[in-house]
Amino acid sequence: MRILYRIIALTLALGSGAAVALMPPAPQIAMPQFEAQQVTVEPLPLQAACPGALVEVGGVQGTDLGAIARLGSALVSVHGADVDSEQTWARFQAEGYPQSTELLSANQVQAVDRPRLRGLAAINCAPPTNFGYFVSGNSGPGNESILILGNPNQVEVLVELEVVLESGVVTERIPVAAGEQKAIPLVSLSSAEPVFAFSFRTSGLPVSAYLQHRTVDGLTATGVDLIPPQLAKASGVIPGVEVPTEGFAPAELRIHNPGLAPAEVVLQIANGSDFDLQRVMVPAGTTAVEQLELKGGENLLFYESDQPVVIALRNQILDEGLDFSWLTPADLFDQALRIVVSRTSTIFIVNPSVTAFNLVLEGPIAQSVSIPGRSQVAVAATPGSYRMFGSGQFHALVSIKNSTGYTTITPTTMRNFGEQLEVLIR
Amino acid sequence: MPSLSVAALVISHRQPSYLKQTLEGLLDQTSKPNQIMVVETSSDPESLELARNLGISVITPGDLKLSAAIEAGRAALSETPGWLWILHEDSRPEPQALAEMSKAAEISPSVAIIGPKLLRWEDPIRIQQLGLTVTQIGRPFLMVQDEYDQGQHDTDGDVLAVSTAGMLISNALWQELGGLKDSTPLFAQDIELCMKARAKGYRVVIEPSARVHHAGLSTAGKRSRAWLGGSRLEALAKAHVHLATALWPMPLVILLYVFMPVIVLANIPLNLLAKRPKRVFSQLSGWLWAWGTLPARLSGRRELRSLGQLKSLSALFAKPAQVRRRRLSELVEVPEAETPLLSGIFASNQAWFALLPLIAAFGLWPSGALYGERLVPLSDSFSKVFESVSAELVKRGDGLLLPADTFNWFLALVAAVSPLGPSFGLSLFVFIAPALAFFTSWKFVGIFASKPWARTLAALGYSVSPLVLGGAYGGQVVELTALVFIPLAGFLVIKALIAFNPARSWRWTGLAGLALALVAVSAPVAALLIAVGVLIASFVYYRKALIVVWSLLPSIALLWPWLSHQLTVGKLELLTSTSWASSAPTSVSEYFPYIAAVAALALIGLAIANPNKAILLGAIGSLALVVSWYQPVSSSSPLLGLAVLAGLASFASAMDSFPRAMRVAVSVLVMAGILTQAAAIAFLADSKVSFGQERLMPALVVAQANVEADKVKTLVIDVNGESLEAELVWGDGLFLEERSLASRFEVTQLDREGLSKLVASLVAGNPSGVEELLTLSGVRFVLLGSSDINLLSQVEVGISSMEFLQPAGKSEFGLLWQVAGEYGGPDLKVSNPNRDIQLWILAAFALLALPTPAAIRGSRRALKGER
Repeated sequence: MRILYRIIALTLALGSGAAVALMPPAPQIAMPQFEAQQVTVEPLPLQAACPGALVEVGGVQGTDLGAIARLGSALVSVHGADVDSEQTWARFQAEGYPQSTELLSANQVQAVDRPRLRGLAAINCAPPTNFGYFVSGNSGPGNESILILGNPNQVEVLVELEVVLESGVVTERIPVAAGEQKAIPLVSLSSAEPVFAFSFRTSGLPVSAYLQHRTVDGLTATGVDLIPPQLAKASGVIPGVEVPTEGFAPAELRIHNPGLAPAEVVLQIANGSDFDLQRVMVPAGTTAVEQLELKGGENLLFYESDQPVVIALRNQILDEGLDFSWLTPADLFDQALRIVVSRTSTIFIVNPSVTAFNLVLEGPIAQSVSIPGRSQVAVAATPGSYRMFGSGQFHALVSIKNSTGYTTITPTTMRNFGEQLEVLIR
Repeated sequence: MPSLSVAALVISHRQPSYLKQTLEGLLDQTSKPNQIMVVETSSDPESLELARNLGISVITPGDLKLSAAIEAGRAALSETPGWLWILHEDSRPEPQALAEMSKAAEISPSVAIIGPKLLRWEDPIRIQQLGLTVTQIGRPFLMVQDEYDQGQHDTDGDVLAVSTAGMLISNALWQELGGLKDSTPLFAQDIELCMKARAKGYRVVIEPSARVHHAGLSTAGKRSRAWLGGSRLEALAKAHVHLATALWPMPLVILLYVFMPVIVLANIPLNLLAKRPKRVFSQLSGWLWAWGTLPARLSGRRELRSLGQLKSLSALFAKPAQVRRRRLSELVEVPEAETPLLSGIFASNQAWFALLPLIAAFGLWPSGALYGERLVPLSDSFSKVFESVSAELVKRGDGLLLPADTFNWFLALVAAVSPLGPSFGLSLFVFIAPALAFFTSWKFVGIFASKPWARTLAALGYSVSPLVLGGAYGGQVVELTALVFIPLAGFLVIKALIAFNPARSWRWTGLAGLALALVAVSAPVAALLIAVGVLIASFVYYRKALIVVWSLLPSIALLWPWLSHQLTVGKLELLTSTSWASSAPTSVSEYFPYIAAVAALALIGLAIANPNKAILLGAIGSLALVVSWYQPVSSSSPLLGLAVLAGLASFASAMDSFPRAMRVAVSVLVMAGILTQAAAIAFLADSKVSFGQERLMPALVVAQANVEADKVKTLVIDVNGESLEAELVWGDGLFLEERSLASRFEVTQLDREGLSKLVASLVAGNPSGVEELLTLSGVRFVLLGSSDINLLSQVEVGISSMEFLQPAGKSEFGLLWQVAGEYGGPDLKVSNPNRDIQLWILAAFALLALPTPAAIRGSRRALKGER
């Protein structure tokens, strides 16, 4: 009987084990799936604000302490809106559908020739924003960075600056009255450190923010430029890095890692069919500075990072004159891009994909170009309004280089949320 | 020789075997009664024939109660006697009984009622009764109960009352007092009659030299319920109430009746604590009976008091010291059963091995609230967690009328016992759960294996298994709870079944009921298997079956709302799970190496262990394994755990019979496997849990929710490119206890179209209609989150452009805006209709589980004749 018991127990155990192993999985209850709803809402009107004329601090000789003055006026070029000559700094608004650069596109260019301020400065007039980074801060000898804040709203806005220095983080709150524009020299905030990055955040409503850079070498002014605020991104492209005189001055690459984890940034610099690869480690909360010895000609910089980073490239050239420009990553366009060119320029168009595509350029000079994968083409442009579209996504940059100096315009996406939204209510 | 005229009345009710001996005893009297009359109230032919064969007169007046039966007997007597000798059919007098009592009657003219010394029928060297009295509160009390008769009470004389069994009473007095009252509860009739006699100035005495053997069918509960007027305990309770009504001063009687429900309710915990739950029902019944028959009680009181003063009676009441002595003497110390010296986990030093699962779980050292795939913190106070226990409203959308998760009972328990906050308590539980599983499985395995080392190996094999230790690292709180308490519930149920006395069985049942409830709220299928086991075992251990089966009550009570809801909606599959936090279904193959190793050990056990144990464990393991296949909603790892436990217990049981050398070798091998497994899980496996803060929403929302919890709703928007996800969150966030498994399978009641429009408008910064939609949906805050900080800033511009949304800053959860204006959403309150009754049931079982001398010291209530 005992043997029989054991046989029963063993059979039960083995049988149940085999049954569980061989049986197909048990059916499971399906959970109800919530369907996302397609919602179309009229988005906010498109806005753009330019920084206005360049700013000179300290008067002509730099000895007039506390003096901040505008120098003449910038040439503002607009598509989709009229320029209000009454405004001290240009602001535009456009309503319509669909939203893109074809609805509103604006930029400004200004050449200046003063004892302490010489060069060409241009900028794409971007939509006001409530948050952004500047990575190009310079306050060392011969360098000056001035933050230009404009409040296009009907109410006062409080802007909080967080300056990341080697010695620590400095914060400052700056109130900007409705309709007011302020120029804030950053030398005191940055403790005169030669390299610093900073971010700004408003109390909610957007402001226009630009950074003006000026360099001097002894008593000689060596350039001026404007740079827009940026957002941290894990990848991007900086097109149109021109090096007319190889070996004159290395390009200065700034990479700021605003995150909490170190970033490993891989740079790929393309020059024609040549590629150069570099790897830069950027600890969390710091700014890395790399001197890039670029080859002569037109360079194209791709970057990829395991953390979102803010990146900008200072390119100094010696061509018809001495000047520099800060280049920032260009937005990706999948629709038509409208650019108004006010001076003879070169438009750089980048195909970030691996396959070639054709791009049609409409404007004073109409042409169709084929852009090979992972490369850029340069198209000469005379003043006028240009529309470009193609069968693929592309980046673009306008480079102006003449006897007055050198500058670049990086067009940005002009689109607010709302046109096509997918909303899932859990 | 006494010359009293005595008529013996034998009241019989279908007990011919007893009647025969009683009549023989009567016929053997040295001083014969003048008349003998048998009153057979059941008309039992055998009894009738028996009496007639002995030449004794017998009447069958019908199914009368005691008083009416005596009256019928009196009426049937041919001559009016001077004295009545009342005997029950189960009271056999010794030959000298009547002679001795007659002598006492003749000596003292004031004596009107005489009682004999009642001895046990089967064992006449023990005194069954020697006079009756009442306690100070009116409860019937036996002056002497179940003592060896060594003549120690033979000097006793006056007593308050004597039993009607063997009572010799003056016929005149009987007539004067009207005899017994059938409206009086059976156990109070003789006391009342004697008190009346005393009130009239007569004496009631015991004559110890008159001996009657009494079976005590009524006091032993062997009479029918109809005869007793309910169960024996009910009859006692009724007698108590009746006598208290008669004896207490009127103001106290009024208070007694007014507060009787309170007294009965207050006695419930005492009865449970004393492991006498049956008394609860008898007292409840006594209360209802007392209220229903109040006029009769008062009439009895009037009648008694009209006969004379009762003050002198109190001298004959039982003294408190007597009552105390009796209570203590009811417990008999039982010598400890012979057990191996080192059988306990602490005595055998095996408890140290609990450090192994504790060290292996060190990666889970509690450092905040636990987060996991299905794990979020608990609310920050016990009261908030408790609010969700047995709730009938799930705080989602516009509110879902669904039952809350039954697992909330366990969460509330954790919240109640954790001084550092509910979430920390849960983190702590996950950390120590493997060590707890070691202890509980050690106890369970101990039922089947005696060697401490074998039990330790099995318990370690279980506690550092991928199911338990892996479950802890996987944040499987629900499954972990079941895996910890399944062995404990099994152990306690078995202990309750094999307990040697009812008190112990009740205590184990109390503990088993609570442990089983924890299994039921975490793994209902496993609890069902244990319940089936209890029912099957009840056939084997039938003496304890009616006690142990009560252990299922807490589980049924806690699962009831969930069960009834799923039966109503027809989603029976959901009955296999009880919590939103339950893990997703798993495959046995995920645990393959471990299960295979345990299966190998189990097969060794089944082949070698004691066959009874082997077949039992084989059946448990096989059944659990097969049932574990079915997991329509959540993981059935608790059932796998039960199967594994059975396999390991079987192996441990087999180790008892291993030769020493073999035991050492096998132990080394198994221990190596256990250590490897523990290290692999602790150091190589990816932990799926993390620790974080206890808040789920920004501080401002939490503060507002603390002020008006039901009127704070936050629209949480998550932006991911052009895709937006939104959720309407109540109060200070949806904590673990507020999430509901049922709601996962229900579509939230919401105006999805309106809410989608609201979200899109907010994100686009288009204020058209937004304010109205916010008010209608009761949104007080908008919380915007995104993993893409760039998108976040873009959307922030749109929302900030609306003047009725006040920016409330940036938090770790995203950007927050407060909506100006009044709350316009639905006003819903959480209700917990079943919670109170469930709580009372748990409290009752907690009282049963509390140790009392009878249940814990090894003492037990004395058996008849043991004292």
